[in-house]
Amino acid sequence: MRRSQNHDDEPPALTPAEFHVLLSLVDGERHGYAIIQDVRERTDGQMVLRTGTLYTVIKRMLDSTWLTEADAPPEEPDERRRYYALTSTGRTVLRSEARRMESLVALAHRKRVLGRPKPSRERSR
Amino acid sequence: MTTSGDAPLGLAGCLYRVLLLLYPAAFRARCAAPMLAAFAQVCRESRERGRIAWMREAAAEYASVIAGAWRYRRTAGASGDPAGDPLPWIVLLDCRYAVKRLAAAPGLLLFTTLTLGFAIAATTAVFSVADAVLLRPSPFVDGSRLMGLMNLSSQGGHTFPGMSREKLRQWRSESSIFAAVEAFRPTSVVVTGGMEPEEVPAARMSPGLVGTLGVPALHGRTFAPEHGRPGADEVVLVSEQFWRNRLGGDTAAIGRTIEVNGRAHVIRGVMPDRFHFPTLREAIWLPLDAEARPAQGEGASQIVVRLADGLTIEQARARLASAAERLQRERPLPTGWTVALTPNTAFGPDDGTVRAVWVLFGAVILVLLTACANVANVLLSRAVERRREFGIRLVLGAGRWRLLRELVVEGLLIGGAAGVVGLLAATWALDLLVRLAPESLMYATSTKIAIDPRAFGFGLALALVTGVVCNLPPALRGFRAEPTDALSGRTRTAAATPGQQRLRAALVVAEVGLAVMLLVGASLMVRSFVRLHAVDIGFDPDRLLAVTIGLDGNRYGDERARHAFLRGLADDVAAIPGVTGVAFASGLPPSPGTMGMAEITSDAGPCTTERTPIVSNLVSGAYFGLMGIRLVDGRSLRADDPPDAVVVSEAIARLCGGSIVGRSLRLDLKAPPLHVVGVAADVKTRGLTAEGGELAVYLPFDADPSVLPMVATMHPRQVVPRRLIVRTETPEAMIAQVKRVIWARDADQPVLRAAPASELMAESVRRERFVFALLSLFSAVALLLASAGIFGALAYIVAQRTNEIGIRLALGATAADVRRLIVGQGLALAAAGSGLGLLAAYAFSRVLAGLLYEVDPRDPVAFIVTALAVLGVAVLAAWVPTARALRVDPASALRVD
Repeated sequence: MRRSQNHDDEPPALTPAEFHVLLSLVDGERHGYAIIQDVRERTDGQMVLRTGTLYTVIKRMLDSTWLTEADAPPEEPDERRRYYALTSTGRTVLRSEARRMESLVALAHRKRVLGRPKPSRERSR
Repeated sequence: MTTSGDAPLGLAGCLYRVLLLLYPAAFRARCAAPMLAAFAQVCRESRERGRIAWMREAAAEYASVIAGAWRYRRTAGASGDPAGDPLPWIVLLDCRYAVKRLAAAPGLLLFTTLTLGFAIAATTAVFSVADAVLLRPSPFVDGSRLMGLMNLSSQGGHTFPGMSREKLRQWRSESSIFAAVEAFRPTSVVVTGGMEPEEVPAARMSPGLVGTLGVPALHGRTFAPEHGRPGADEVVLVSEQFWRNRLGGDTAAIGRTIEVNGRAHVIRGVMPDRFHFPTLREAIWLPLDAEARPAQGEGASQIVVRLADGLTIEQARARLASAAERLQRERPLPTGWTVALTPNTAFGPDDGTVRAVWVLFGAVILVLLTACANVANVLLSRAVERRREFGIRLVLGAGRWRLLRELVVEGLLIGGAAGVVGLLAATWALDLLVRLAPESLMYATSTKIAIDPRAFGFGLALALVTGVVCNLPPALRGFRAEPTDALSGRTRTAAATPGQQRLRAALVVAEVGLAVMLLVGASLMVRSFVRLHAVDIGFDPDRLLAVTIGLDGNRYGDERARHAFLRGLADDVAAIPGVTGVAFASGLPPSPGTMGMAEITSDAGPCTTERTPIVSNLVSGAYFGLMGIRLVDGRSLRADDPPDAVVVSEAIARLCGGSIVGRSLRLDLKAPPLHVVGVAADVKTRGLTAEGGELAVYLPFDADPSVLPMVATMHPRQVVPRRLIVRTETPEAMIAQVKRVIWARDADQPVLRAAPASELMAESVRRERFVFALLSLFSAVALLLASAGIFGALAYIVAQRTNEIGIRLALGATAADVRRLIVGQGLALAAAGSGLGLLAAYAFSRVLAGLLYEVDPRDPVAFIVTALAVLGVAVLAAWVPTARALRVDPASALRVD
């Protein structure tokens, strides 16, 4: 995982895989396969996470305390699956990354790279 | 998504688990289990989209694990996580290097992968069949504690199945011995309504039996305790395959009804694909009230028991013996109370199937050994070339263990690549095998025939070992301080030491020997089939379509009703354009109508001295003419013949002293007499190879059933099979029309089989044909490999002895002399190999005895032909090396370098 050399006070940029995993966990805890499915749906099949990639990412984020392991929800007691949830640190990282990208996109707009400058608002998929 | 029961991933899962070892232990502790679960789910989803999709997904997952582990370890230091075990890391580096080296010689890698891969695929596939049929590991929970309970006769000591209700009730109450006592009865049912009516092999099971076997339903539920009792709902369980094929794999089908034996039954659940009971064929299960009186025509139940917890088999047997003794004192029974515990809960394979499987297993091992010898030879040549490289590296200071490790890893990669190819191919190979296999295989076991992790492990281990062992010689040689040799600057190819040359020659001789063994087997079978082809079957199957219909026992309860239906049907079928004749019968070769034991007496005295098995067929008048069965004496049956008329076969007439037309005959001392109106030529009524089919009687449909009292009974079926024989120019094309006519007359009438009559006769030797096809394939492959081996050896010799050949040519040797030299070498190798191979074949060919028809397993013709063929192939293989030898320029050969 590359960490681009940013200024010391800014958190490093996330890889696309990391970003999507964090995004999947915003609405609540999920287990691995559910994250894979969620990412696949969200990107219309463009990004298919494989178990090797996914869990390498998850383990790193566990070590960095962006994620934590959670208990399975009561309706689906499946011993073998581990559920993962965002911590507040993780949420902060996700938010700052989204903001970073938003500011980059705004810069691109101002330079007319993406057509007329549009006011930044939530764009629905 | 809930998973009912742990669907085993088998091989794919094992491979995934192995790859997970690339991650450090700390990682695995936290993530291995969820990774495996996610992988399992990926496999499940993709499997539904087909095998190719599944393989693609699995391959991508494996790649992601390898890449992920790599990335994780590379950045391990950066995030403070300890990198963990160093050894797998080093192995990964070695692998990278070895891959680069192998990629430089793609031809070699391709050859070894394909050769070994094919051998591993074949071995794994055949082993899986052998495992399921011969070893029969129990597919049920705690299978070693499940046993069959059979009656043991007090005299004679043989066991027989079928326990009466009283006994069953008694043993059920013996809770100190048995945790569960359950019953089943094999049967068959007719499924109608909706699609084509079909006869489906089925079994009735007591409600607790499924639970005792321990396999939960895939969808829905299994039987409840009240099912099977009078007044309870009529329910069925269906197999997964039946559910997919006939019910469209729709989960909404559970709870709906299907028509079984004319009555609506609710589909209670679907059993998973790995559940088979009592054999691989049953697809529908009905509840059984074991303690109720059996229905008409059904035999007694067979019993499956589960031993009580903590009891060993010996203890159980001891307790059974004392209980039986006690019961015999308290409530004596004529047959006694003694019972025996058998390890098999269901049927096993017949001898012929066992032998066929053993033969195939032996043959495939021979192929595997041939492939290994071939690959060993190829790697050996490569090893010789690398000796110089290693010598130089050693002189330059490389560590010996480093070089050794490199060679081992390279060998493992070669073997591993072959293993992966072999696994992929094995699944296809097994599918093909199962599809071509004879029916008897499906009856032989209740273990699903699937790729066995043990078989794959065996083949892979052998491949890995071969890869490693063949790669080691250069290291072993190079370590013996011969750096001067390496640095000598000789530009010729490195020479093999005499030891290596002997090894090469030995490998080629071994390959030839193995190929010869397989070829002898194939040749013997060829001769057998030639003999079979010449057999006079007694009738002419050309242009005949044989349709077997299963007349429902409920609606056509007696022969009169069946006869009426068949008569009407025959008229309808005769009206189809293109049909030139119709007849009907109860049996058609190779399926006899009824088999029974008879004591034949004519009005001149007894014809047989003891009970003899004979075949009895009910036939219509047109039967003999349509089938082309010659009438040796008298006439055939006519529509106006009385019920006691009979036509007998020539064999029976001979037993009764010759001219028997017009005389009366009894098939049993207590049976009513029959009046012989004709004698027909002998027909192979029981198939090409079966004996005793010549003793046959042909009766009219309204014959008295008691004329042959001792009839062999098989397990009860809902339908009574009857055959319609249709003469037409294109039998295959008529099938659809005939079926339409049948269903126009009775829409619920299952058609059990519709095929040209010639096809049916060929099927009677399906097992032999199956073995023959595989044996031919294996021997062809082995011969190909052996000839490649000879070719390689000779090419190497020519390259080695270029100098010598040049000198000989310069000194006046003719082309014929050189040819004799090279071809002579080739023939020497082939002759040595053939000699050993023929000896081994002579010793082992007896195993084929049961599969050969009137051919001695030591038939000299087969042996001689094989030897000549191999020698001929050796000469052919020598062709190119000889041509190369002749092109050696004496001048350049004499040049000193």
